[in-house]
Amino acid sequence: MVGERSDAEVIAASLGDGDEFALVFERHFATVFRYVARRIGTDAAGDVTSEVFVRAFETRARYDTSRKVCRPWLYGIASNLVRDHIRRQRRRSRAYVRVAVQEEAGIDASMADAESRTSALLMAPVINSSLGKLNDGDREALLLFALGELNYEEIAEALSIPIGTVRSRLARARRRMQELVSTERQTRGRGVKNRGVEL
Amino acid sequence: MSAEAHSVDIVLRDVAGDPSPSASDVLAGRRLLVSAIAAERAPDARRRAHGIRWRWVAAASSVVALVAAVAVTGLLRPRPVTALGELAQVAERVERAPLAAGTYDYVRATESRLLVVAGSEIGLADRAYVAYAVPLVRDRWVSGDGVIHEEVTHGQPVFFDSVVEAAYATSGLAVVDRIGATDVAEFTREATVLGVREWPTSRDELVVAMRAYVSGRGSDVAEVAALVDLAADLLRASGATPKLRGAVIAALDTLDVDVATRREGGGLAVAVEFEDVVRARRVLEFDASANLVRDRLMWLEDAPLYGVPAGTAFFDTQLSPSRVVESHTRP
Repeated sequence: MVGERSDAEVIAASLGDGDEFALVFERHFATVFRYVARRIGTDAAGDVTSEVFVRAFETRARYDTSRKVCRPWLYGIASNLVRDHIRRQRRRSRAYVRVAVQEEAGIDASMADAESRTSALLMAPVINSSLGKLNDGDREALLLFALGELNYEEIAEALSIPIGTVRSRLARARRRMQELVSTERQTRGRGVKNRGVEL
Repeated sequence: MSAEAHSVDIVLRDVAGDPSPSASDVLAGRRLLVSAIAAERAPDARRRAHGIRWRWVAAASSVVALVAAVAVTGLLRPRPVTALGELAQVAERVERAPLAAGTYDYVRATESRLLVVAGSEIGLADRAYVAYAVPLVRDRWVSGDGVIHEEVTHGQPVFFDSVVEAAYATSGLAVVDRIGATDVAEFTREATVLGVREWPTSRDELVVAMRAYVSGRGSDVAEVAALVDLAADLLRASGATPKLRGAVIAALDTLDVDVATRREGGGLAVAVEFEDVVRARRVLEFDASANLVRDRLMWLEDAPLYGVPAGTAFFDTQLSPSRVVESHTRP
């Protein structure tokens, strides 16, 4: 049965028949979307996630077929595209302003109860600001673990780094986040800053 | 994993929520992938069709574009669009010698960025948004083995009215905005548009690739503006080869843009006007050696929602010529 083939087998088959790659999309689109949406909001996530699969399709010849599951590979592509999206967003006025409005809306829609909604609304700018102060490598590792829900080995694969480096980056990122969040909260009090999503 | 560390992950997940794609997200994604699969199946036919279209656009628009550049900016005077083609050739010929150990390629970028925040954030609840500009100086040293050392100094903000200025002063945002601070970072992997896909170095193929990329991202500005934006990204990406930079400049020559000489320092300017939050103009300026020396986006009309007057730069980046230095010492 087609559904029982590993991702690696499907990708290998897609080199001869591009249509085969649609199965990779069906298997992983929702998961990749969730990771991307957690980082940049649901409004932009559709486009970026779609781009992830086009990019994956175009570069599938370089996929290491010894990796049976392609989720870390897709997340690696997604991480690059998300970073690129955030950088471009800061430079494009319309998107920038719109995101400022959507940040609250996105959080509203995602929270089930009023208490957590309020808490998240207050925390979001603090978290965003703190994440922005991590170095790129630490931030990517932390977000792939916390939001992408990859394990250490999968993060290593997604970022093409040794697993020991993943451990040290995660530890450093968490420690630094605790320091930064604490400092930010003292600095900002209850102020909410809507100026773009860093997640 | 410690209990404290674990709490960071939980907070991140709480803040981010648990979103799932809508049916239209899935449909749009599937449609884009199907297009990519079909394009791979018949790449030659697609390439030919796009190539013809872009050449036609360039020919039809060039005269109008040149006149518009002079009338609107007052800074530029017209030259034949083929000048951009010549500049593309200059870019292709630029070859830098490999950096010796202990030396760095240094560039200073002087930037101004418009920041938009909720009025309530600075105690102005009667205003939906307020805006102010923050100047930055970004010094960057790149070593021969690709290590990037960057120092960003945040200057004093510029305000458009005294009410916002006074409110900002007591809001505590200066700390958040890092006003007066210098951030130092060192990294080796930089996320640039170069990593998104393989970019062809032949002009016509590059235009097709750029157009496909822009189309896939669902840009909400005119296509030509999105293409100029992408061109700027490619030109500024560390690691862009001379061949690619030449192709990008040549690609600009195929678009419906204004092209004119710079009055000071030689070189060319490429401009495009489009509908953004308000009518806006993006201008890329190149020196005679085909270096991108300035990149700015101006709002041409008042934006009352943000309290921003016409003529404000949403961003404005001036880049110094690259030069080889022997230490991370700012000039």
